[in-house]
Amino acid sequence: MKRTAIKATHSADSFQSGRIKAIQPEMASADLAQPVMQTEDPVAISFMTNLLRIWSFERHDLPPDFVDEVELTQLTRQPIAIVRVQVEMTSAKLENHFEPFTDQKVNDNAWPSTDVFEIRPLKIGKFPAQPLKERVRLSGQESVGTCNQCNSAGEVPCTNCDGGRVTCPDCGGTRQLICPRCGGGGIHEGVSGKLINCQLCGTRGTRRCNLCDRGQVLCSTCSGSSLLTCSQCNGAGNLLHFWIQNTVISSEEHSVGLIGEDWPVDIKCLESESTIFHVEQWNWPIVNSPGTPIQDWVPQHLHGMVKEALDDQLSKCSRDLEESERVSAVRVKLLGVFLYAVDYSYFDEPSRVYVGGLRNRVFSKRQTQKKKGLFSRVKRLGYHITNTISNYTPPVDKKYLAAIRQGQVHIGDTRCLIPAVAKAMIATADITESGYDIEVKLPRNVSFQLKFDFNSAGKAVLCFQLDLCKAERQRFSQAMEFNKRLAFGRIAVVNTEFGEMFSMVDRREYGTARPEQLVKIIRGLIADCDEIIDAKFLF
Amino acid sequence: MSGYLESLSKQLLAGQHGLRLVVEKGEREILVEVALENRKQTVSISLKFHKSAGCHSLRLVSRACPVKDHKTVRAALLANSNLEFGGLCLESSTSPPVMDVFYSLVAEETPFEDVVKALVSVAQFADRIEKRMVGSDVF
Repeated sequence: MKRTAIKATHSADSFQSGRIKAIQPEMASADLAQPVMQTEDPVAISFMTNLLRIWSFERHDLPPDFVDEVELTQLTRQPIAIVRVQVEMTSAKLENHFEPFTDQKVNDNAWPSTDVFEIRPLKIGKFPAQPLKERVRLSGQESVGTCNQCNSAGEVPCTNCDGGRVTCPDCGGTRQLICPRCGGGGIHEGVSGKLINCQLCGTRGTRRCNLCDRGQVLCSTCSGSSLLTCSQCNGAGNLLHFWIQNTVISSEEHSVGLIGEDWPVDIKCLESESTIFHVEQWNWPIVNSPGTPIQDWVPQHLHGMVKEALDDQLSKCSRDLEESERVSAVRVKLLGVFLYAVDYSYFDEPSRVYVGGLRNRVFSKRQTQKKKGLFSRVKRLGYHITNTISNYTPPVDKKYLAAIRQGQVHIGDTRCLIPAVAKAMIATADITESGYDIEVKLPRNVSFQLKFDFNSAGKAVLCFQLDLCKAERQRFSQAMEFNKRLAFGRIAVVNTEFGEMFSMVDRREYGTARPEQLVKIIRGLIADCDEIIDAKFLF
Repeated sequence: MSGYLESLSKQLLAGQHGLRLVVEKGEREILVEVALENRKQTVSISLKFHKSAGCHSLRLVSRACPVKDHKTVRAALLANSNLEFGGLCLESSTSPPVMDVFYSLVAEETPFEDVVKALVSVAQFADRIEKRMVGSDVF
């Protein structure tokens, strides 16, 4: 296996088909050891061909007849493993604070630890996406002291005045104000236009200030008391000292992709589209061993890679740590997904795209262009004439491709059959990873699955499944005998996530199925299920 | 659909399908003996109306083997979930009980060729089980 240092020449397209179980089956971590291999699975090949057609449908760098002419020549698959290491850093600092002491209770208890990280439980191990800042007042280790500003007096001299009085702001202490009528001149222009003596100030030009007392007024800051309440202790005289803990929790992450064969794809794009096999987390002190030994959840061939990724990230984060910082938690995730190399040909011109991720993202570079050579043009012309004469139907219906892109049909439903069946049954059909979930409303609510599969002859098969009840051993014979009475389908024991269940199962060849026929079969199956449920036959 | 079985038996007897068949027409069913590489297998074809489905089902049944223990029943039920064609059912009116292979088609809309295809598939599948479980060619 190689770490991803491959030059990614194939960029990730915005196109994704959504989960298709046949292409991206459930994976276990043991599957990461699978080698690069060609797949002959007809379901995977068929779905991948359709996926290729759908992907190409609206691409401007591909010719319009690509959809009809493309031929999948080889499908190769390899698992990719992704190791994501997240390191959480916590910084914790103490700040000394005080507040006026007014006989409140003093908590002078010692802290449980002298370690600033251990004084109270921190919210570590959450790996926040954004730094999580917190200021918390700590309980304990409080003390009472005198106020150094007022020396416990509670008051300080007023800095604005001297003895509670200040110079009159109106007359500036002169006790005289300029006469507002003559402006200090003693004469002014009369009504007749001639200069006359000022009657208001008696030609003195000034008037006596009435606001002050001998040029001074009371200080407005201290109201004449010449003292101010101490701003530090708020007049209490003493201060209560307490501590505030300032914490910042942040996280950094780094991913390493592991791949068997060099395929020019940036597999980190697939990180969010991979199956998570295991998540292991260590909180401080991280020198401790993980809860589950690494051997238990990492396949052997990946041990070295996981360890290396972990060491790299830890040493990077621990390099410039200050005393007030520490690595508070480490989380390692093991992820994986299948990546496909899809080789195809278009008019004998080979090309390749890559498809990977749970939602089948396509990685491509500039694709096959229309051939412009004479031979090629003649070949294409001949092809079109033949098609016209033979009333040829292209392998893929454009309506199907459009319906796929609009999320109306499953990729396996090339004839858009099931939406038509659902419509005829006045039912809803929700697309799932492997087919449809059908919900029939009338005569009563019934939900069942319609999955796509392929038989040994390589033909698509439509599988009906409706779970009935838990499969009790003592009912096995009854269930088998009841099969004689059924209109269609059969009762089977199916392994589900809830254990063994009795289920109504039916499989029909997709290619020859007609909507009206399917409607009748499904109605018959539902009616038989109703009978079983109503009679509590298998319960 | 009264003359459906009649017409079907005539078509089967006409022998246009290229199979070696022995057809026996009864009142409610047709018994067809299908010749398979040195072996034979009998398939019963019957018609039944299903009100809920709003159609007649053409039911093809062929006897596979006697059922000797519960393990076989369980194995058959598990197999029913993934069988490519038809299903397995238990007939307990016989002694010992027997296992049948069955398959149902919508009679109204199934072309004759599809009926023949289903007939052969049911016969082959039942015979394969018989060969594996019993060895001899009884049914």
